[in-house]
Amino acid sequence: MTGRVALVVATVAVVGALAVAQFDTSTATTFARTEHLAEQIRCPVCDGVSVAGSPSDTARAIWDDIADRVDRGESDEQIIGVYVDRYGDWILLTPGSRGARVVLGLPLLAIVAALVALRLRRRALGPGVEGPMEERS
Amino acid sequence: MSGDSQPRAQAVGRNRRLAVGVVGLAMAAFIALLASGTVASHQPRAIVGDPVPDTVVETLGGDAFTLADLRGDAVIVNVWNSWCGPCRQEAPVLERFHDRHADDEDFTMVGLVHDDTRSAVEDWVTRRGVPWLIVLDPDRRLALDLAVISQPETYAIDASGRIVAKHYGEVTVAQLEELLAAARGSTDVRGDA
Amino acid sequence: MSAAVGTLAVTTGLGASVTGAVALVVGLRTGARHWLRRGVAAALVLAMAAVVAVAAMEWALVTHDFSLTYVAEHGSRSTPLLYTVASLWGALEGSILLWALILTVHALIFSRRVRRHLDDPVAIWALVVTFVVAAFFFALMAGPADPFQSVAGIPATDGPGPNPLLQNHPLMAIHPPMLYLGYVGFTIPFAIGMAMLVTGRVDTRWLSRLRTTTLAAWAFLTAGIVLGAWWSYEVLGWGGYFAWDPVENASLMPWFTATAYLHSVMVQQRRGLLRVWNLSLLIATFALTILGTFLTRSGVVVSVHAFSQSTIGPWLLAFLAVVVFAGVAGVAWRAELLRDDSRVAGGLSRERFFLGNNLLLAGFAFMVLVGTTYPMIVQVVTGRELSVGEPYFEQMGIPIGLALLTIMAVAPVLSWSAAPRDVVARRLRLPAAIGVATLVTAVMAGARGTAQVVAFALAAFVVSSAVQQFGAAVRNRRRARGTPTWTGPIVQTFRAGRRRYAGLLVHVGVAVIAVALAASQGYARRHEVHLEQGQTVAVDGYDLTYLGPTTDVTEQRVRIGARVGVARDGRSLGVREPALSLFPQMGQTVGTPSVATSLREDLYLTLISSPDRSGAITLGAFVNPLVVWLWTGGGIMVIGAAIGMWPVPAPRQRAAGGRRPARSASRREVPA
Repeated sequence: MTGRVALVVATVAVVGALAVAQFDTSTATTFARTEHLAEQIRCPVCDGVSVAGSPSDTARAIWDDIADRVDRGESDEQIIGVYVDRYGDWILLTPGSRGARVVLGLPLLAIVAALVALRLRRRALGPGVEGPMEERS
Repeated sequence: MSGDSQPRAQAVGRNRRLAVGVVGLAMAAFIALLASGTVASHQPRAIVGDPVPDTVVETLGGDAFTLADLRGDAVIVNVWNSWCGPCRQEAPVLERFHDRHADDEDFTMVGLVHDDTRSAVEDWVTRRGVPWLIVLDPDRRLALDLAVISQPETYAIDASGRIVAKHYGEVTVAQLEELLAAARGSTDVRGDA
Repeated sequence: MSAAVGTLAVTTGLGASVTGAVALVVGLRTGARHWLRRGVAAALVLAMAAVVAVAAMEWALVTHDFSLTYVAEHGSRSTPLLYTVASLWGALEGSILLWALILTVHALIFSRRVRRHLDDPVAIWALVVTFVVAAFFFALMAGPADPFQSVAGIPATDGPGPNPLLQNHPLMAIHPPMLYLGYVGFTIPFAIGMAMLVTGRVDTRWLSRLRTTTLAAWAFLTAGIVLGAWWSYEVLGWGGYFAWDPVENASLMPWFTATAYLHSVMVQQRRGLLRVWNLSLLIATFALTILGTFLTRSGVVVSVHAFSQSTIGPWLLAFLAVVVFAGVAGVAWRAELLRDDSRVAGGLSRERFFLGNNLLLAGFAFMVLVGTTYPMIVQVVTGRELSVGEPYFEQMGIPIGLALLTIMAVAPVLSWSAAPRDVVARRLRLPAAIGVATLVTAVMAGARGTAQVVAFALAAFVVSSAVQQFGAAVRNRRRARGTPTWTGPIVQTFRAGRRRYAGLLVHVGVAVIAVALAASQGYARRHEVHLEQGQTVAVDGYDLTYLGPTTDVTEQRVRIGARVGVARDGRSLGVREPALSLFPQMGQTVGTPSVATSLREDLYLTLISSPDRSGAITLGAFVNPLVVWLWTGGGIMVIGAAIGMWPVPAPRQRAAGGRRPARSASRREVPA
């Protein structure tokens, strides 16, 4: 009985805490928005590294350009759009096409599929020689 | 082992071989793809087709300059820096090409420097007697707007002020001629010349 | 001189590895022991050849012998000795030389063991495979990546020196060798695995050897990755430590598959399960190191770590194809022999959770592989150019990582075969409660972001579960002995279950890293300030005063520093000096950040722009919480691994008890 109460209390605490954790209290400063955008745009002179993650002069120049645009009041979509126009989709670190999302989602799919397959095989083979209680010593 | 587990074991073995075959094929395909990718390099050209940016930079003489000023001309823009090896190797080619077309009424050539000191550039220009217009872009504003990602790079801009072609790396005279032809609108080259 | 000696050594090495392999095969076929002995002895010649070749190269580097192309391109008279020595691994040809040296030393150590097992075809074949791998690397040096090539014409009197980024921090002298010790260390496990497939003797005798060698390589690789992140943090100056750069990714992939193997091999030892899976993991780990080398060294990627375009790409790829083909064919051929003794038990069994962790770890490696190679493959197939980077890897990696943490807390309290539900619940009750309490406390203290707070909670769950496991064992032992002291039982418990508790210690290290990752990724605060000389500005609780510039000019570079006084709450924390170094010959500017570290957070200062006309500077000031715990966690993991693989004084213990390490299902410890 006390076990069940503890479980309920723990569940409520976890759900409540996670709900509160969603709320981001930080305000959207120019810097924060620039950083957020710079993490999505690749540094064009590097390999696979974002503008935020590159120490190169080019990345620095793009960072400054993004910050200027944020200050001028351009929206995130507009700013991303400018870069896609110049460089193509290549400049984005997350490919937007559906095909890409499917292929890139493969690893998660593979994990889930493997779990399901193992489960089905267990079931198909029926209860084995070793039940859960056997070999307890 | 009971009697009926034998066929089951065989079936499991068959499945396993099948799985191994599939895995093997997938890996072979993967390696083959990587093999054909060893020569690929990223050369984005989304900028081709866009109007030239009106970003203001400075000439070596200290005047304000924008590429849009050159509307009406077929323009070749060469992106370089004095310390970059391939750019230095490319210099004689550019000189030969420029000599050939120096008297063409509709032709302008611009050297864009975005990552160098003024003194190093002046040094180089005086030493080699570079006859074409050199502009400095120390904050990389124009370089950014032109989507420059390497050096040297060469752009062709037509009389209406549209970027019609972009070449990555060192050019040959023949490639420069093709770029110029594209800038004059006689061919419609998109991308590499 | 060096060129001649080096070339001779490389040729000798190639010859020794080929003749060694041939002699061993002949010995196996004819049963002639003298052939076998000769083959084993070839390992000594091989190692000596590699030592001589490396010595010749170092000699050439240190004496500035610019008649060697390698020295002419990567050496310079003005480079400090440490970086001159380290430039052995600063570029392609030299790094292959280092690779070969490490490989031959591994081969030599392994051959000592083989010499005592000349009747065991698995040992002989494993040495053959090692020789073949060595032959490949020596062939690279004899052909397309010749480190001892001489310059044409008259040698220069000085060279440009190593890449500026690589001569900026002493960590550069340790990080690559660690990484290579890890990468190359997976060769012997791979060779043993292949030998099992060739001979068809897939038995358990080699398992503990496999486990130890893999663990050693894994520990080096872990150290290499963590030191690499540290180097990147201290040198690159963007405030971060891992950017999901393809070269960094290349080191993660074998790490994850090796981690999976270290767990699943226990299932094989205890329960005779997962044989195909385990051999596949060994082969995959080795193949991924070759793939990583290909990605790094062939010019398909360009990054701070990658070396320039070279001709070895096709060679590495061909070798990768051979490795993968041999591995897959071998597993298919021996499929029948690899059938498991029984099936994975259901319920709350440890093997079942290990299976889960293996799926997640392999899935993580797969995710990194897909993300890293997808752009190249799309370009080949469709000609389109696109990028995959940090946002993708984080989006996928965070859920997998959190799931792994959960398993890490639960699996160690389970028994082999199965534990009854109520026993598990009793063991997990307290750790779970601590996890929940951590979650609530973190949120109440102002922590936000689901991934972050969940990571904190799960890390607490992992640590408290590990501590409780150990604590319970110590209490039992103390009660059984009836001793009033604690130290005795603690030491005895640790000794008796050394591997197990070393493993738990590694888990604690992982939990520490998880917390540090979540905090430093989630709560980093970045600022940028413009400062006149003498001006003070308050940034995030710190008072920064720009005291003035410094300049330091050497032949190679001009270094401009900014002396910045740092104070917090009126207390001085000293003067920091972030700098920018300009290397005019390379046209490269390299920042040198200055990091003021504390247990709670780092103040990371970078000089963004040197003094302008009015003498003002732009300073980047990043506050990165808990970063020091990343390196600490890495240290804990490596120490844990070292304790776990330290040679056991087991024979005496075994003889006394007459007991072999239990293959039984009981996880109760055998009192010493």
